[in-house]
Amino acid sequence: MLRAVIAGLLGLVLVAISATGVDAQAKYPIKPVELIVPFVAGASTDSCARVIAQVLEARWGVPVRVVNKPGGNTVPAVTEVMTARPDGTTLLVDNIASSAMLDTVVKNLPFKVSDRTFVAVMAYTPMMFIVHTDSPIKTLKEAAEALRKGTETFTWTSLGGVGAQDMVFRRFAAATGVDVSKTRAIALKGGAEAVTMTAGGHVQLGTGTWSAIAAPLSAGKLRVLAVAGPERWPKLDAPTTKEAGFADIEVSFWIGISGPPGLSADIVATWDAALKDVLSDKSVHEKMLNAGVVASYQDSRGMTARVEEDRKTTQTLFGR
Amino acid sequence: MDVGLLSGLANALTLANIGFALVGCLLGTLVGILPGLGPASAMAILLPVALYLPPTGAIIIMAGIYYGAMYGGSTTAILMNIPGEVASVITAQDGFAMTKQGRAGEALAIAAIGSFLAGIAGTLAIAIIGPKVADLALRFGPPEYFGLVLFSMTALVSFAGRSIFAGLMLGVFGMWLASIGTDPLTGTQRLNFGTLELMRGFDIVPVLIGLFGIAEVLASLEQRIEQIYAGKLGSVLSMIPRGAELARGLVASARGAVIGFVLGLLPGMLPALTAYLSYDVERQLSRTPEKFGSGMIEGVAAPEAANNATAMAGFIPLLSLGIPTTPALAILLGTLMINGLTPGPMLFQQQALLVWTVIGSMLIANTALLILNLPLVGLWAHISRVPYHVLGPIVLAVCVVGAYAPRNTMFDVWVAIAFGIIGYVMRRLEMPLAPLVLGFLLGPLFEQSLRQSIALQGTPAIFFTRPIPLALIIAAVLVLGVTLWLRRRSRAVQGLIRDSTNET
Repeated sequence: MLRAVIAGLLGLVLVAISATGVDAQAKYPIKPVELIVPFVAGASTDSCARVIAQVLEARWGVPVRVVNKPGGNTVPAVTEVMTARPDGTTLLVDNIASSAMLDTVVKNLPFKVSDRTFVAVMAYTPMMFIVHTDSPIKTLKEAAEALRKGTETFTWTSLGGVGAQDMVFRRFAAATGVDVSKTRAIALKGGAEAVTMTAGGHVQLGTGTWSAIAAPLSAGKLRVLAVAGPERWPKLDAPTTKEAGFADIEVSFWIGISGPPGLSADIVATWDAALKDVLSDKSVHEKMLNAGVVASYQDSRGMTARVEEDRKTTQTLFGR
Repeated sequence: MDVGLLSGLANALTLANIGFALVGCLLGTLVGILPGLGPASAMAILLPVALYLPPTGAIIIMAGIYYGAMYGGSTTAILMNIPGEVASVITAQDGFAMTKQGRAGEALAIAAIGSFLAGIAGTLAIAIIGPKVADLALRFGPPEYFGLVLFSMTALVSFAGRSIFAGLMLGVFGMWLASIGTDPLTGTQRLNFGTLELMRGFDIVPVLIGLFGIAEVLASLEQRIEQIYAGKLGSVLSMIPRGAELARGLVASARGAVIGFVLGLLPGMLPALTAYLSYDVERQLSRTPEKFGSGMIEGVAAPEAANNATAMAGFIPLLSLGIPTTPALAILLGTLMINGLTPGPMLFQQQALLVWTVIGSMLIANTALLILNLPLVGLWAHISRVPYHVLGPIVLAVCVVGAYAPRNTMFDVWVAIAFGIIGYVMRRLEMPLAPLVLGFLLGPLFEQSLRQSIALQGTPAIFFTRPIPLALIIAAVLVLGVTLWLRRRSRAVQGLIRDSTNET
């Protein structure tokens, strides 16, 4: 009798073990997921990651943690994800600058950007051209004129090469027919500082995204010359670059999620499906918009293509 | 809309909002006491919670953590010579000296009172002048910053200790350390010797944890200290300073609050920097500057008031222009944005009740912090009597966790241990730590403002053609001259005293 009970119990345990084993294979995720953000907390890439993490945590029932690992021009954090086990527990949330621009501007990276498994684009926000309210420049055409006439003394906000700010200005300079290396690039630490510098009237032309621009704009310190996107920005009376006479300057600062090389197709599919669903949710849209970005889903293939395209643009613009 | 401080205060007095303020204060005090775990990391950890709370509550809690940490940071600095917060590094100099004399209570009390005065004055200043002075944050461009940093650097000389040359070299060493890693402006790699981890550079938190926390434990072990203070501590009431000492402390607090507040309106002027500068001002004004470092109450009151005032002042550019002046305020900005609140003058109009409630809660929170901290003075002071073989290991453990926390990397733990050894050696050689820390804090600002200014105009002439930088540079030269002259004179006086005692 006792033996039969023990055998029965053993059998149950075995069944239970094998059942969870099957479960583990069938259902990703069962372990906590870490979303590594190579920037400080509070910036738009981080806010976006946190909105998604919160929704997915509720959906999946496993912890989805955002871990900030700032510093070193994103290289240490990205390297950490690149060398992590491709089991879907360590993923990266970053943006156009660190995924599509970094390898052109910074030499000798310890990894190849194209090795990453790109999962999905989650959101974007268009770059905008801004000037100080007292600036004599009223339109993007006038900015181009000022740039052509006073190339050698023209000051603009740069993030030292790696930034959508640099991409959009370089495209503007290319459209104007001006050699960027002759202008005065004022290198700054980050996008927020670029806007503050413009709002203080210290540079002639600035660029930035809505999250940084909104406050000084409402304080009457800034004028938006043009939105470098296909559509106007809601609640903002400013033309698109196309309307302002610069047809092909469209640069969007996008935020995406990616993983280590060799992330399995199943895991990518799980994320793609979940994100597609989550990103069509109205309340998520609203939260993203609060963080200054527009929720916009693009699947793994779409993101891979996007990174390639932006890398090509960067290589052309930076002449490499 | 007719909403002002009073209606905000009334709304802040609802049970829920008082609760949020208290939670923020408690967390902030705790974060302040633990070395390494700073307000920025605590606020980042709490950011997900902020998504669930109503916006007002989220912001009240976040703000409470921020200035609560300024109160708490002084506690461990005073009791154990281990600053719980970067902003309290300088407080340790005289605060710990007071503890060793058995006057921990007085030091803790004046730190809490100074912080309270600065907090209340700061809140009233936000309410009264508010957005009007926010423009200052914009008006300061790179050349103005360069002037300000140069002026701040004159403090290096007075922190230099016995040898000006050695002190300046330590300052340069601090600046050099801060320059390692990725150039913040262009992303160029500097001095990383091909290692991935050095690309991140040295973060201030692990460096300070090493120099102060770990080094202090090492030094105490070597000296076989059984406990920090072996004598008796009186009752709580007897610990509060009185009479002339209280008056001196209050005056120093007031000066510290003004300095901290004005400089705190500028981005990059961290509470730690303004604390240093106000300490330096107190010493310059004092009739007995040589006694600083040996337990002067002004040396505790001024920096503690200054760091709190700086924390308060930062809310002005944050709320009216969306400019965060410190990393912790950047996270608060994120909290505002996630809740759909865009800072700016419109915020004061459209969300008047929210803004005034937050400001009203600052009054409540600061009062709560004072109530929280004063009775606890006696309790905390008893830590100085805990046997060191119990206290030491706890401190070491907290140090290691604290070093890891801000950037989530083991590298920072090794950095803290390495700097622990450096700090210990420096103590043995009687080298001052202050110039090193000041150099580390000022270095990045110095470099960036210099490079950006020259990029703006192409020549350094920009410093002499703009009024603010020019005035600051002239002031720096004057202060430097006076400091050097005072040093020579006091040395001459000391020499005379020595000679006269030798004769008798």
